[in-house]
Parts: sequence; structure tokens; C-alpha cells
Amino acid sequence: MMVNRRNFLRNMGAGSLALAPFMQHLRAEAAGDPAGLPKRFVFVVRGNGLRPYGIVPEGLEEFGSDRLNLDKLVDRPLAGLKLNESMQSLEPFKDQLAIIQGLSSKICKGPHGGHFGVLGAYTSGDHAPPRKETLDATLAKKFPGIFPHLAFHIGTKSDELFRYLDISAQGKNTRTPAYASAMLAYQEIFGTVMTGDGAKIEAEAHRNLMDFLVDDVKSAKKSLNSNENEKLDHYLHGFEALRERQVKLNRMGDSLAKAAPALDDKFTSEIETHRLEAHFDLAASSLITGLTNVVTIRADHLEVRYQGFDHARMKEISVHEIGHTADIEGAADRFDSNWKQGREMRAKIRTYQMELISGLAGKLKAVPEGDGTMLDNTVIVFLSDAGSQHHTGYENMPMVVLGNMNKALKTGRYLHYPNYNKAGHRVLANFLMSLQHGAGMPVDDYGDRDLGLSEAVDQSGPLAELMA
Amino acid sequence: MAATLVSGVVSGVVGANELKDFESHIKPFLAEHCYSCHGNKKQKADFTVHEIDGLITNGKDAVHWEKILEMISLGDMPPEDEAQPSKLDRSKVKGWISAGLRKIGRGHDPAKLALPHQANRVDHDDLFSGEFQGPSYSPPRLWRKSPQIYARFASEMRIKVSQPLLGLGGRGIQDYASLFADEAIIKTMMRNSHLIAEHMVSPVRSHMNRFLNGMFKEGAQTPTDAEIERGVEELFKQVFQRKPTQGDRERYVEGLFEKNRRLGGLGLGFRSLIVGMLMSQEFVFRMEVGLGGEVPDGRKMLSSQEMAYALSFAFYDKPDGELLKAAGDGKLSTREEVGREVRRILEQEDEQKRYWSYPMYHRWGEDYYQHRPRVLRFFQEFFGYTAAADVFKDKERGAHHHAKRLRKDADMFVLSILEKDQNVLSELLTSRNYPMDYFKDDRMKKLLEGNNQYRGVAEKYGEEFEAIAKTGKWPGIGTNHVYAYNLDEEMADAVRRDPGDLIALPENERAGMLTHPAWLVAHSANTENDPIRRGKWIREHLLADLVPEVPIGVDAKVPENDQLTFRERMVILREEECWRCHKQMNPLGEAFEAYDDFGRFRKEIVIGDADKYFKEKRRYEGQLKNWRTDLKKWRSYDAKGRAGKVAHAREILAGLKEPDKEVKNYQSARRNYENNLKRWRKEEEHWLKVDDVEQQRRLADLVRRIAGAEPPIAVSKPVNARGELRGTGNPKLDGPFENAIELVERLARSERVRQSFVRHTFRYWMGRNETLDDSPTLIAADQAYVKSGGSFKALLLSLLTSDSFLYRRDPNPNE
Repeated sequence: MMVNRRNFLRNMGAGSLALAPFMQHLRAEAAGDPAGLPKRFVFVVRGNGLRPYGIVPEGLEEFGSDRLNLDKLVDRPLAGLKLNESMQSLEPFKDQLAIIQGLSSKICKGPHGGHFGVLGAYTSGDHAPPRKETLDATLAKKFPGIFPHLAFHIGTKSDELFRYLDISAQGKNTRTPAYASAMLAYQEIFGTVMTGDGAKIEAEAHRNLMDFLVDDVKSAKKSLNSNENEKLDHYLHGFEALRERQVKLNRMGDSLAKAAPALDDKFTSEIETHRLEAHFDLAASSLITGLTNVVTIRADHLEVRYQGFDHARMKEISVHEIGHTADIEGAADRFDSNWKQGREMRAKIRTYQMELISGLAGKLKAVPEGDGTMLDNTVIVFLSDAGSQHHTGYENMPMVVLGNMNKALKTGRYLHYPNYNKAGHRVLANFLMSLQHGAGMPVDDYGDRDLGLSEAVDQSGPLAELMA
Repeated sequence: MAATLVSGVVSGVVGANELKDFESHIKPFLAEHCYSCHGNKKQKADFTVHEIDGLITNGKDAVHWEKILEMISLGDMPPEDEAQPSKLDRSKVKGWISAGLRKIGRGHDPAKLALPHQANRVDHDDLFSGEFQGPSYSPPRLWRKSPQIYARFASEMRIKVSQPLLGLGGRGIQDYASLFADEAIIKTMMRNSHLIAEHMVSPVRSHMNRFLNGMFKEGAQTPTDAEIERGVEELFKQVFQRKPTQGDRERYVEGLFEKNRRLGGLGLGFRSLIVGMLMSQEFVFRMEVGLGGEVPDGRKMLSSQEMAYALSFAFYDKPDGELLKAAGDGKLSTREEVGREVRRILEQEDEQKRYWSYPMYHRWGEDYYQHRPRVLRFFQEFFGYTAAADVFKDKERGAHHHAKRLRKDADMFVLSILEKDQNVLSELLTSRNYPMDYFKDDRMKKLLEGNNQYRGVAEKYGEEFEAIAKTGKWPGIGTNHVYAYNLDEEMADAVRRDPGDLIALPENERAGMLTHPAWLVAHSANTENDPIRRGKWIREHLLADLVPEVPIGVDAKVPENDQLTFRERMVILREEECWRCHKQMNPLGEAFEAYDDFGRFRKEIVIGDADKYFKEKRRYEGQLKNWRTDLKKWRSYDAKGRAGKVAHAREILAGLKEPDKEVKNYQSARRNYENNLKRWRKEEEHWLKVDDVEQQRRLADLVRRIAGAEPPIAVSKPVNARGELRGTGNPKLDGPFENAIELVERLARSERVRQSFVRHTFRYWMGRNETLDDSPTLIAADQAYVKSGGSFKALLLSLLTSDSFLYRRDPNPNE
């Protein structure tokens, strides 16, 4: 999608927009002030673990072992190395890539995934509601858009509309709602400014409905005392906020419609991979138009069954069962398959997800912003809520990070921290703090500390190796 | 103290006045009761008050004042063993401080005070003294519908929607009238409402609203005005359970339906109307404003309609047709009529059409097996045992732990006691009869015969099967029960033979809900017990007290030490500054050390790598069992026996036939045949080789192994479950105890505990915290319970016909 940002702004017309926070950055950008530019974050979380052997560059295969015993930090530049086979699509972005291994997150609990502990760095067990907001929600509050925080979930069935995420929370007891249906997401994000008579009528009918509801609440308020009025005020504010959002979106007019993703079959497809593509399209468009600055994508989870790959076995079994298929020579698995097939299946999914990330990065790179491109101010974090394998002890949370937040992060390298509880070991929370430092929120403590680590392990502050 | 302080409001906002009051009234109080430990000479807990700024509104010492307020509000200061200020003095000082703090936006957050467990701040003795005579009432309010009510409505629409609503969270009462709906909730509800609206007007027939669907069916005629009117009426019946009024027609029909119909047609019109109705405050909130008759003191009764809804939602998650009919017929407006309806509901028999089986429960939730969901839910939220499923337990430590089944057991425990309805609280706290997961259905026999899963069981039990099946009950207990309840083989079999609510566990091992594995697990940590939380639960739920929050800066983690039991490690909490609060919790919670964090009874606590020890122990026991079985087997053979084995093998080999190539699944049949052939040939060969010498050799080998088997060594300490009960107000009950059994028996005899229970039922059914004005209601409810021999039905009847429930009055009419 080639949208020249500066032209886009000119078309919108300065007078028609209220100076909401998300608009200020656009003004700053138009005036050429990089400090005013927002930071953008995309968190892509998958299930089943991100297998080390699948992300280590060629030549560094030894670091792809599950039983690695490392007592020194490994820090190698990626220039001159060829990326892992499944990461070929990310070659064009190698200088902005940071592949990180060795960070633990033992405060995560749960046999199949660390739930809110992954992005929130706090203990969170199976079925437990979230204790507080996770980092993506915090960042969304700091860099709000018309849609403060967008989230997508691959879903399990094609008719699933949306779901509450188990890896992201807006606050105590409040899971982040995520779109599973790409069509629904499209309608809610871009559909409101669709042109054409049908759309206009729906929009006006919607306005009538909102007016009615606001009046309904106001008339009820008359017969109540102050305490109860406060309750209705919350209800009222909710409608008014929804109404306001529509107004803002309407004002963006046709320009928004032009930037919307092309609506095609994949938005209603039953094939999971199509849905995921649609979600990435929506994420790209939403980021580019500035509708949001933080996107969380649940790229898959254990119940998903991938129908779209040309692989007979994958059509039969779920991601959970793939997780129980061996992928190490000599390891036993629950099924009568062989480890090569296990590797094959995982590689297909992993390669595909990397391609989607590459596509998203490419779209952002194509849009100029400030002295560079939108990608310069974006960070894409790709990891699994289950660390490095299906059943995990959370000793290693491998991740692939794309983007340097306008040179706030030192990228273009492979970082591998020493083993759990060895000197120099760091935790996932330190990475989350690195992001916050880069975002202008310099915190030195985040979430729960892992009390199993000795005092010699530094759980405070960002990862020095990653910060510029 | 001067008259100016009686109302707790300092006259005049001018600082000079405030300072004068401080000097003449507050400072002497502090000097008398606080200086000796928090002044010049001593600074206990590093806290001093002798140099505090008397002008609260300065803001300089706001944190200090808040601390003082909290300590004297909760009665934690002055300490018990010091001279106490009079109640009047205490309340005056409280009032002065909170008024001052309120001026600068500090002090207690009213939203927080409205939470259920904060209600314990209201003085218990005052509530039950009889001194406060009301009149009782609730404030007029809109009670937002609970997630269960919404889910029930959606399930009747037969549509799958996402749950937009959340309860209070945490472990206690979930549905309170103070909850509200905000933007996040509205967004999800909007989405759901649009979905429902689309289904209702879809041309494909759906069972949501047959009348409307008929209107939009393919080939349907344009509806007449009368038909449209009927459509609107059907909608009102479905969503609001009433007929549209003139006002409704103006607002809903003219103001929304017609407007949008003119824009985009009938479909759009109806869709908008439906969404408008489903998002209206009438649908989202329950109206309890008090639209009925007024009494001389200004209170208003609930109207018949309001009563119908209030009573419906007291028992069910949906409006009750019979109650609405009674209201419509004018037969639900007096206290007596309310009583009649409540009795009718309470006396209703369970239709017994439902399955009590575990798999069905698992699919449909607890609504499926009892017909007054709100009653069971009270006990679930009061005891908090449903959280057992939320506490993560490592599968390796507890392979047989099955939290959902334990939770169901606890549900049945409660229901069995409610069914008898005698001495309900005392039974809940001390009964030794624990039901264990079982089937209950009159059509049992047919079900079991048709179900392959139970064929083996039927064969095993032979004749007994008939008799058991006739009772309509069948046990579903499994290995997890054996482990959770420490059942031995005999007991397990006894349970299987007599399923239901009469399984008596050993008296000295279990008593009541607090030693039920579900409760114990729900109030435990991932790998340890949680005596502090358990103690807190007892303190706040049964002793009507409130434990202060953890002070800021305290890292609430017990230090690790692999030589000491958890209890021994907690000894650091006996430091003075910790013990101040922990003495309210630890001596109670430590009583449950006789159970591990899976709720299993134990006499010793294995420390160090307990998990490894138990794994070794299990392996050892398993191995021993196998060897003993083998020994028994080999002893039973002689030449005749061995020959018999050979003959048996030969018989089977002769009977094996190759599968027919035409047969279905030929490949697997062939594989089976070949495997069997191999196996029985091996058997035959083996037995031919065994002779007397070989047999003796095997016997000797097994005897040697068994003699030499060594159990794993563990460092274990005997269980110390001693503690001390304080706060019942009864010197015969307060005091040290040996174990949890003794503790719960004493709690069951306490008046204060019973009254605390009544307070919780009040909160749940009134949807709010109690105030001193509610004292007559609470006393009456307590009396009703006592006089009826501990009938929960009598307690509920009293609450639901009380003034607190039926009357409304604005507590701040001038605001």
C-alpha cells in the first residue's frame, strides 16, 4: 500500500480536525519534529513455543539446541550471516532485526502458556483473571489513537466474531477484546466511512440509535438520586464515547476509505491462514492511517487447526497436537509420526508467520515519515507465550524483534543471554523495560520479580546490550 | 467533648477554628491513648503522632492522619491490652478526622467502602444490640444485571454471544448493586445486540422471535399496520415482559423505529428498535426505585412490578412468569403477599429432570442441576470454593488432582444440607458426611445400559447393579476422590455401593466445608498451603472483623528454607510490627496444617524436596505391590496349575482364526490376529519351560526383593495444627485449640459466627452493605433462623419480607 503520508495529511484539511492527541503527532510530523512522532508497537504472540533451532542464523546452529549450557553472553552482528531458513523473508530488514534468546520468565505459570505473565511480567495462572494491565495496553494509553488498542485473534471457527485474549489485559479483570472475524473488524474500523448509499443510510440510522440511547439514559437520570446518577453517567459516557468515535472517523472522510485494506475473500474465508493475512492487512492499514499505534495479534493458539497448508497431517491435527509431535531426533511423541515431520509442520507455520511480519514491515517501510519511514518508529515483537517449546519451564523466551524505535534500540544482531541463574542472565521483564525506555517511559522495575533467581541476576532496568 | 463535634463536622471552614478544635479535643485524645507508644519516649512501628499537624487541610500530614483513622476505625488501636476510649469518643474523633480528610480529597474512597468485605466496618455489637431501631430501607437504585442474567437471556435466544459483563471480581460476592456499565461493556453489548437483531429479522427462520421472522420470510407480504403493532408487542413481551405503554410508543416506536424505517425500510426499522431495547437502561439495569405506596416516614415501597423482578432475581437468573402474573393481577403488593410468593418458591420441589452427572454438569454449568441458582451461588461465593479450579497445581505433583470434580462435590455438599434445612450453618461447618460426585437420574438404568462406558461396571457389580440403579443414583467417583479424601480401598468401595450424601468420613479427619478439599485448594497457593489467607477468610467471613491491608513497602513473601515447614518459616511474622495484624489471621489459618495444599489429610509434613520424596514413595509402594501380587500368584501354582496354563494357551491358539479378507477393517483385524498368535505362543512356551525348580527360584527371588525393598527416607515433622481462637466474644469458645476439627466445632457454636453469616446473606440478597439502620432486619433474620432450628429457608423468608428489602428511601434527600 503506497500512501505518501505527507500528501495524505494535506488532503485531510487542517480545519476539519480537532486537535486530539493522535492528531498532534501528525502535525508534529508535518512540521518535521521527530520527537513528536508516536512510537508504534506490534506484538505478535503465537502458541506452541518459538523453537530455537528455527530462529538461529546459519552458522550459529549450536545456539538452536534446547539443552544449551551458556554462561557467557553471545552478541553477534547479523551482517555477514545468513538468516535461518524460515526467516528468509526478513532478509531485507536484517539491519533492524534483533534475535534474542536466553531471557527467562519463570513468573509465568501455566503448562501451555504464560498467559498475562508474558506481556505483563506478573504471575498469572490458568483461568486466573488478569491482575493488571499488560504492557501493550500501557503503551496504547501512552500513544492513543482513535482506537486506543487494536487486537486480533486467529480464532478457531470461521464464524467466531471476537474473543477475549488470554495474553493481554486492559486492567484488573479486564481482558483485551480481540477481533477474530476479519470482516467484523473491517466493518468496525473502516466500514463506518464506506461510501455509497447503503453505507450512508446505515450511518444515519446508527446516529439515530445513539441519540435515542443517550436520551433514554438522560430521562432515567431524572428520577434518581446522586449515587445512582453517577452509575448512569458511566453508562452515558460509554455511549457518548462511541458516538464521538464515529464522528472522528466520519471526519476523516474519504482519505480513510482510500487507506483501508482491499476487501476480498480472505476476510470471510474459513481458512485460518487467510484470516491471519486479513488481520495483518487490517493492522497495517490501521497503523498507517494513525487510527491506532498499538496492535496485539494472537497469531495462533493451541486449538487452531491449519487447513490452508498443503500438508495432509496438518489438516487433521491441531496446533496442540503439533506441539506433542517430536521435532528432535530420538525424542518420543504422542503420535506415530517422526521427528522430521514434526519439524516440517512447525517450519511451515513459523515461515508463514515470519512472512506475514515481513509483509507488515514492508508496508510500513513504504510510507515515508520524518526523515525515514514509518518502520523506523515501529517495533514488531514476535514471541510465543509458551517460550521455546510446547511444554515449557519458561527458562528461555526466544523472540524476534523488528524495528529500532528511531535508533533507540541497537539492532542487526543475535543476542543470547546466559542460562538461568548464571551470572549475566536476564529476564523477559528486562526486555519489556527496554521497550518502555525506548518509548520514553524509563522504568527500572516492572511486574513481579522472579524470586527463584539469585541476587546476582539483575532483574531491574532495560537490557543494556539492546539500548543504543 | 463539645457539642460541635457530635455531628462530626467541624463548624466553619476557617483554619483557626479547626486548629482550636484540634487543641481542645483531638490532641487530648491522642495524648491519652497514643503518645505513650507513639510519642517522644517510644516510637512503635516508627510511627509518631505527638508532632502531627493539627490542621488536616494543610495536607502535610495527610498520610499520617489516614493511618490514624484506619487504625481507630478498625479498632486495632489502641491495642487490646491497653485502656480503650469510649465508643462515643472514638466515633467523634473518627468523624472529625474523616471530615478533615474529605475536604482535601483524602480519606476513605466511598466506592471502596461500598465493597462487600468493607461492610465489616459497621460495628457488629451495635448491629445486634437492639439499640438501633431503623427504620430500615435500601436507597433507590438501578441494579445492573449480572453476567448470569445476561447469559441466561442469551441462551434463551439460542444465540452464542460474548459475555460483556463482569462481576466485582476477587473471591467474594460478585453481584452488587453498585456495579455499573461502562464503555467497554457497552461496546460488547452493542455488538451482541446487533447480532441478535440481525437474527431476528433474518429471512432464514430462527427461533428467536417467530412472529418477526415470519414477517421477513421469503415471499412474505408487506405487513399491515396491525401486524407491525403485533411485532412491537411481541418484542416488548420478549425483552421487557410487558406491554408497551403510550410513552413507549412515543419514544421507541415514533422516535426510533419509524425514523429508521423511513430511512431504510422495515428491516432497518426493526433492527434499530431491537438494539435500542437491548441497550436501554431498562434492559441493562433492574429498577428498584420505590414506585409503590408511601408511608408516613417518607419511605416508599417497591411497586408490584419492581417486587416481581426483585424476587425473581433473588432466586433465578431470569424473570419468573408466576411472579409477573401475580404482580399483573394485583396480588403482589403487601408484605404478606410477598411472603406467600417466597414460600411458594422455597417449597418448590426440584423436578429431578436434570442429570447430576459430571459430564453433563461440565457442559452446561451449575444451572443444570439445581433450580434456584442464586441460592447455591451464595454459598459458592461465600465460601469461595469455586476458585479451586483457578489455583494452578503442577500435574507432576498432583496427578490425581481434579479441581472441577472437587468443586462439584462441594456444591453437592451444600445442596444436601440445604435439602434437609436444619442447623444449616452448623452442618456446613461440621458435618462429616461428604457426598462424592454421583449420577442422579430416575432413568438411570436405561442410561447405564445404553452407555458402553458403564457396561464393565454393571458386569462387575452383577446383582447389586440392579438395586443401585433402582435408587436412581450411580457413583462417578474416580481415583481423584480416593486421593483427595484419603479413602482406602474399603471406603472407596463403600462409596461406590452407596452413592449420595451419606458418606461419613472419619470424625477426627474431616468436618464441614473448611476441611473440604475444594475449600482448602481454593484457599491455597500453587505449591503450599495459605494459612494467612485462610485465617483472613475466617476472620472476615465468620468473625465479622476486618484485617487492615498490607502496608505499603512490605514484601509479602514467606522466606524459603528447605529445613523448615511452612508454619515454622512463618515465625518471622511474630515480630511485633507484623504480629499486630497477623495475629488476626495466622493462629486461625495454621489450624489447617493437617492438610496439604491438595486438601489431603496428613499426619506428617515432609520437608525439603517433598515432591521428590512422594514420587519415590509412590514408586516404592507400586513396586512392592507388584512384587507381592506376583508372589501370591507364584505361590498358587503347582504342577496342575502350570499344566492348566499350558492347556489354556493351547485352547486359545486353537480357537484363533485368520480374519476373512472381506471383513471390514481387515488390516487391523489381521494385525490383532497376529499379535494374539504371537502372545499365546509365547505364553505356551513360557509355561512349558517352568518346572518346580524354576518356580522355587522365582518365589525365592520375589521374597528376597520384598525383604530388601527400602522405602525412601524423608525428613518429616509431625503436623502442628494448634492455634488460638479469639474474637467470638464468648470466653467459653475463645482460647487455644489443637486442630482444625476443634476450631470448626467451636465456630459452629458461636453466636457471633452465626450473626456474621447472617450479615453476609444480607449483603448478597440486598446487593449492598448493611448500615446501622438495617439492624432490625438483621436481628429479625437471625431470630428467624434460630427459632426455626437453623432453617435457611426461614432466614431467607425473613430477609425478603424485611423493610430493608421492600422499602426505598433516599439516604441524602438534600443533595
